[in-house]
Amino acid sequence: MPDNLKNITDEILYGMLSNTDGSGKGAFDEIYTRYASNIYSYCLKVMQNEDVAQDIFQEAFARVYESAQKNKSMVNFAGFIITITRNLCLNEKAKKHNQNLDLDNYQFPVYDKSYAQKELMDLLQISIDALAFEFKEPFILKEYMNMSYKEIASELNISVSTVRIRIYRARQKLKEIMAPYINDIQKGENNV
Amino acid sequence: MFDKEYLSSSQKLSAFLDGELPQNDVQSLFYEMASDTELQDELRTMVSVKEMTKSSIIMPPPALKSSLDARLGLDKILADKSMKKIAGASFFNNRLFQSGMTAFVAAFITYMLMLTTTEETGNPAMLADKSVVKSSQELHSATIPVVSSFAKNSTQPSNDNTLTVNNRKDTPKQQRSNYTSTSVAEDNINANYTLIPQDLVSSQIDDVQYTDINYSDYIQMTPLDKFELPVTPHQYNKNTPIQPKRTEILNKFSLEMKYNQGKSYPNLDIPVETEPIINNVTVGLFYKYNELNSLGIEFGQENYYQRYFFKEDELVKRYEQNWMAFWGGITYNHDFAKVDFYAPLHPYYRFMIGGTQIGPLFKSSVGAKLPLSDKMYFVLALEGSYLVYHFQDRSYSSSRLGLSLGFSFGL
Repeated sequence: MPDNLKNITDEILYGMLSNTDGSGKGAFDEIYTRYASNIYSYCLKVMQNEDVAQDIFQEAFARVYESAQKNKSMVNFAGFIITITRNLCLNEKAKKHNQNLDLDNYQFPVYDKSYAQKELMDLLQISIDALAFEFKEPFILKEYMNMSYKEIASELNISVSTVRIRIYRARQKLKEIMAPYINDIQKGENNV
Repeated sequence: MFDKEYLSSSQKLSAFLDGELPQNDVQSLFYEMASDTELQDELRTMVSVKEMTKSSIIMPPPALKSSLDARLGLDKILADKSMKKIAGASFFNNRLFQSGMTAFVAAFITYMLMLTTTEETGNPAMLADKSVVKSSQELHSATIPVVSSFAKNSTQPSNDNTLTVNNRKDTPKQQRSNYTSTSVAEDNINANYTLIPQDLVSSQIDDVQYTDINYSDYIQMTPLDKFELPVTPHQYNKNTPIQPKRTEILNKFSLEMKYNQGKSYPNLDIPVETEPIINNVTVGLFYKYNELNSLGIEFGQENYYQRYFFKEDELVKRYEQNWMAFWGGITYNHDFAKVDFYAPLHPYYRFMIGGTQIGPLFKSSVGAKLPLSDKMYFVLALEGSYLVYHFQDRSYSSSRLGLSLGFSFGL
């Protein structure tokens, strides 16, 4: 990857995508490097299905590339790519009527007290998956996409206050599940 | 931002962790936390959850990037010279390259197996040639002089001065003039016993005695009898060219019918559009041009899942279907040595190059035939197919893996 692309803003990179020489490909690679893991994580968390998530992930990047062939100007690239991804996810969910897990009735695996870090991570993944979509979505946008409350509110078309409350509730749910395990780890560290 | 709202301490903590708590509230939160141990514990837990969430971000599989580049046509463009190595890596992930390599490896394994068969057991094709020469037709019509000693079970040239040159009744003088300058050929009747060096023949040629030989006696005792080849009396007529009989040609043909039960990829959950009677049925006609190898034509009908993209109304749309393909092609078949595994099995390898209405189709299979009678075999094979098609300037592919079973009939 050419180093000089790393200092260029997303919006300028987007404008370069339509270049037919090597710079277009380089710009696409740089954008991919910046957003791939966040977008992929978002797709996985929202869709809870690896195959579907991969399809949407590819489709989102393909649409970004296709749109850049027509429009060279871009104001907020991060918002643009997350909007595309989110719309694709919502369309797919509407088609599939994805079953959401009920967090209150979900039977979480019982771990031994000597659970490892990986098991804790697995538990976190299950917990996030089990969140209701209205809480999970702003939480993921905040944690995975590093979006501000204002940006999330704009993206989801809800108020900033609602965003704050939903993220707080998502965090509370996760805390309820994770707290006993985290406390055990912290006690263990203190004893050492 | 939150001046007009009431926020609990816990809510303030959450907003603080997100960097969204106003400075005034941050100060008040710190004062509160200084005296509230529960709030301190809650902060620790929230920080741990946040850190774990951040660390759970997942990188997409590398193959997704290659596939995305191929879809957008970016795999043919190099960003700059430093990108060439990356582009090379994506080439090795290319499915066309992988299928080509699979075909190459299969062909190489086939070739190695052929070599192994020749070295260890003797090339059956060579044995077959010998049996052909051994036949009475060839024996009597041969134009190459065959000098034989009929000294039974002798591995050395016979000391007996009696040599026999075919059963031709030439005069000794004619024979001498005809054969002294000719290399002594191997008599295929007594192939293991009777090869005589030319110098020995030359030294003995003056003492040649010619006797009439009844070949049938010797033919009956030849080691090649173990092949149980038919030996029929034949009248020599050098003016009559030898023509293979019609039945001999037909014997080289076989008709094969198979049913294929398989799974197509990409893996989609779409029912087949139509279900005609011949779906998943393959019919083939094969010609065996030597003992091990056959060429044939095959055709059949199978369903392939397809997923491709197209532009419509300025939008890129994805299309998925379960397409019924009518296909046909030319097949090369290689038979391996028979394996006695509870029953005599005839393993084989097969490769087909063919096409459908929308693009080329490649098939490869490994299987075995179980003889049910002289003319009928039960066939079972593992079969893989690779369909390539083109749509709106882009190439796509579908593959299929399955199990074939059916019958092969000799004609």
